Amino acid sequence: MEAKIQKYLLKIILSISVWGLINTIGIQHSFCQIINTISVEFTREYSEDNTKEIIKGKIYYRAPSKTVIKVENPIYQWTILEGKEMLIYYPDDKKAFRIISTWNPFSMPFFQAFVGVVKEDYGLTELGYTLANYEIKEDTLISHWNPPKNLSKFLGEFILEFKDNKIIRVELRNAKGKTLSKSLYKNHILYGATYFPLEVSTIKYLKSGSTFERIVYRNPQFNSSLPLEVLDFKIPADIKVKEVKW
Amino acid sequence: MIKGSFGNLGKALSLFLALLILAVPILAQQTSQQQAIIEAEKQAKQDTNKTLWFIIGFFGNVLGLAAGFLLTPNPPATALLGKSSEYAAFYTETYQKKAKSIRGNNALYGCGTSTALWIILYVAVFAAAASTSPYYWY
Repeated sequence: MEAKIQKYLLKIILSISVWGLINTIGIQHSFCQIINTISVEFTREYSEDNTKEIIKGKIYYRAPSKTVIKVENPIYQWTILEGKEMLIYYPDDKKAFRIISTWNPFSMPFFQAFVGVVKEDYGLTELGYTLANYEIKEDTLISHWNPPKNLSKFLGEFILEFKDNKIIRVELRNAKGKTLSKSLYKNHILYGATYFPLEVSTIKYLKSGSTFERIVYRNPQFNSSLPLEVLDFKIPADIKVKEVKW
Repeated sequence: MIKGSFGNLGKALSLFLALLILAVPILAQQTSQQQAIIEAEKQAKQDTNKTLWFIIGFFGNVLGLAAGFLLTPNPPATALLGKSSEYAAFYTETYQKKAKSIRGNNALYGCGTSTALWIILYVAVFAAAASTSPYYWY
């Protein structure tokens, strides 16, 4: 049960959803787009309590479920996420870890917020959410979604805001109506019929305080060839991989 | 004499600086380890629903208890992003231990509470049956 809740929370908080409600209210939105690969540079700034960390690198994505993250600063690190396996490799230290999940597949939440816009069902209906109501304020569409019934005691409504077919704000609330997280999306880039946000800022409200995360993406490449070092990534044979089962 | 004092002072200072240069990476590594442990324990506490595992232990009894100590939630993938290999090693180990401990302990409390309630119920029923029985119990 907890694994299921975690799966829902993870996808909800970090997925961007645009739904066919746009079609429901009569706005034309062409969404038949296939993304096979994405490569994009990123800078992730994360603040919690009085600490702040900045990570820079490049993300490579190959549909349907392989994500490779090459961190270049502050440390040289490769992270490969594929299904229920996460591989972390440190070339300079000649160390590697393989983490195998028993329950849920691994994903990189902040990147989900970038790539999630291409999902045909836009994430929420797949999770069991249902459209409760919507409103249009000038050129902004605000939709309110109710959680699945079996999770309604834990999760509250999910609010999406769109302006000119671009996702601009997302808010997740708990069952008591308290905000759990808020995300703002800026600097969109158009590829095909989809607007991808190049800047995503998220505040999460925890019992112990709050966290702030800001991701800035640069030079996105869609459906282009990925480098061989990514496609054929392998840990060198002389490196002993420490396996961790969860 | 003064020259000798300065010489000794110089030697002491050199030794101090040498120790400091050697100690800095060791201290930095320990800081990284400590940080990993602190963050892992904090994340494990956030990720684990104590109430849920109490309920699982309460209704699941021994099976719920076993599940609590054997199963582990996934750590967040972002927790290890950009972190050193030492950090990753300590984080994964600590997260597993802490999450299992919280789950297992709360399942244990649930299981214990359930058992205690059953015992109380049994004693109450037995006592009620004994008081209404026409037979004398010796």
